[in-house]
Amino acid sequence: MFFHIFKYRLKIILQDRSTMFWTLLFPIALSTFFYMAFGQLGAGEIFNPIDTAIVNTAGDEAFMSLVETLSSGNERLFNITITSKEEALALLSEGKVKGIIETGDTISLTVSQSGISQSILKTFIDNYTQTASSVNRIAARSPESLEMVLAMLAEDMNFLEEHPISRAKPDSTVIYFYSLIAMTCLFGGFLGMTEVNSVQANLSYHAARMNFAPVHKLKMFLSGISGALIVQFAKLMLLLAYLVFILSIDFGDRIGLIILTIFLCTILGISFGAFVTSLIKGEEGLKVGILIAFGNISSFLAGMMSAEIKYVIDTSVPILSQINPASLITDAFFALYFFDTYTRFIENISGMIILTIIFSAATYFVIRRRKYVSI
Amino acid sequence: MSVFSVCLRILKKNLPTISIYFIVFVFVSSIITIMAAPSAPGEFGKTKVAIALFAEESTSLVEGLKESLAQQADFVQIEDNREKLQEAMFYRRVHYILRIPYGFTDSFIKGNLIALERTSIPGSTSAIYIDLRIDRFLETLRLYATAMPEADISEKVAFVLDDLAVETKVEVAGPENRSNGPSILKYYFNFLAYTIMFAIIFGVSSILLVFNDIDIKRRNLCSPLGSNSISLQCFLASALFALVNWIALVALSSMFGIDEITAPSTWLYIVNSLVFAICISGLAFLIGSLTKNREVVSAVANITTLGTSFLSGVFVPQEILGENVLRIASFMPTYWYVRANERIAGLIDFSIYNLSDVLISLAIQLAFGAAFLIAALVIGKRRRMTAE
Repeated sequence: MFFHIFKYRLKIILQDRSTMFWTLLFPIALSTFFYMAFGQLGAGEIFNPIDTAIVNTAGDEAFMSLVETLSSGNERLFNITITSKEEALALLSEGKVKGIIETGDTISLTVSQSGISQSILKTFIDNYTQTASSVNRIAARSPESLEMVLAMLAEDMNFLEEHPISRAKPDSTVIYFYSLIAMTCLFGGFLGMTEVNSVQANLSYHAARMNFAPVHKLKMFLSGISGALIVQFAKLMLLLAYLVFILSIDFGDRIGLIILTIFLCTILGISFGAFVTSLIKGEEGLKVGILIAFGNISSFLAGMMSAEIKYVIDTSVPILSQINPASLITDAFFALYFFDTYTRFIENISGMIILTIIFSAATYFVIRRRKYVSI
Repeated sequence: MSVFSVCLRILKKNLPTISIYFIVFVFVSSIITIMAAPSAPGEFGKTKVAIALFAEESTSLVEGLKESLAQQADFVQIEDNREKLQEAMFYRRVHYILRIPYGFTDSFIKGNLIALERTSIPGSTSAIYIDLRIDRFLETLRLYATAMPEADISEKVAFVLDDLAVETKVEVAGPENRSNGPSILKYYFNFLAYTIMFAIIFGVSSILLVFNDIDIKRRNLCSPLGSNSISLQCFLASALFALVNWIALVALSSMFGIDEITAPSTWLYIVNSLVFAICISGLAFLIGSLTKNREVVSAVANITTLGTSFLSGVFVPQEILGENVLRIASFMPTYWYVRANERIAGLIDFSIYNLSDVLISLAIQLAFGAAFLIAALVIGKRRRMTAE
């Protein structure tokens, strides 16, 4: 009997086009939009050699040779154009250079706006003038060591040693995609809703008929829920495959744990839908509304509209992140991607399991042994 | 005008649902507008990078380094916990973490250098910017340490700080040097595209769903009213609905831009949004005539609104979007609407020559609107001809 009901539930679930749209096509479409819109988002902070115009009014050979050293090779700081003042101003107003360096009694800088590239140009010139000032002071105070000091200027010292932040790139756009998976899991609540509707005699004619059958209600419910779980898990795996293989979103390399997380959040989403449906009295429209609204708000708080929001909530109202299902799911993926240790991941997974147990237990106590003399 | 008044009654019935969406969108757009508000441009300001600095010793060298870094960095107070730091960097609360190990000063003086520990965003401009400053400080200090080995370290640090106080004069020239920066209204009106599009498509489709019901359609075809007249009245009601939405949203814009009401650009934004609303009512009419049930409507409304908004630069500025994305987007009216807004924001004087680009964008939106409407009428006509 279990497999008989299971088979028919599976057919019904697969033919529910509206749910199919919200839990498969919509996330795929939305992730594609994210991908196209956010593709270039991180590119702005990566350093590119700064396009600079040089106007050598004073014929300062020492400065020019330094600039030329710094504008050659792969790790160069500048792309320089040596030109006249008028030409340089024209390039600046067309946006082809970030700034104009002009030699003279003092070296001067002309820019069209403030920004980090412009600040680097300024720092570079500052450094040059500051070195001159140091050398002058040393020449005045201890002229005997001047030669040694000038030799030192040519040496390249390394005072800093890089300690990488993590195994993964600190790229916060991944949060959008992780929270999109969270939203899809919560929309999986529709499947939980359909299952409760099909066994609660007061919710549908279908369920009223089903209750006549000589099958234990729990068995009936579980066979339906297993069908829902399998379908929803398959959809989420498809979404994951789309994100990883087509859009090349980085999830890290802990594949087994990623799939485990997907599995746990499938159960969480479905049990959440069952919980809402069995607890809230009212029309189906109202329940759908609540599921959609909750799914959206929950994933908004988990960073789906702006990754910044997730951080603000994690740090200022941590309790909200600990009870918000979408935050737990998003954070589990984030922890797998970014952290070296498993502490944070285990916290999130435990939170998800606790929520699932609460939702399932509440659903069980509401729908068990409900009998009707007449409806 | 019996069809027209029925349309209004249908809208009235759907009012609760529509207004919920409307309020949510207005709420979100207000938050986004406030968050996106640009800071006022003015004189050249040196960029400051948020860094976290942990010093395991406190010597005059360390204090001097801090003082000299303060010129280019904002120090962020954060707990020294690996995961907290990783997270802060992931969300760009800090762009650079510098750790000065215990014994650094001593090693520096003795010449067997222990390196400073740096954590930065790989390849980023901010890392290079801060590196330059740290290198400069230590490099200069090393010069003094070699030249005057007998002097006290704090004296040398004082010399270094004195040298590093020399600053280059920066002139600001060029087109960005205008009196007022881009106004906050640009952000509000950009986001308005999303709100108004969803509201209009949703509202108009609810009208057309009723009239597209096969039984009602057959009944209406028996009436003495011509089918063109029915379509026209429906369209008028849709246009009225669009107009009401537009007025409400424009009125709300005064929340952000009341002090800019006299600026010519404000009026251009308003005209642009009116043209967009007209265009979208054509689109809504087309979607409404193609769909048959409510679930499909909400699916189509969501996908079209979100899709066009993402690709056309409503959420992410057009200048950040890739060239290919923009090429695809130019087949959508939203792209031309946002483009017109961007152009309006960049205008300094309002001569016809300067306005031509804005006017072209407006004309393209109207053409889109007309094309949608014609397509809707043709499809409607063809549907009537086929027996369903």
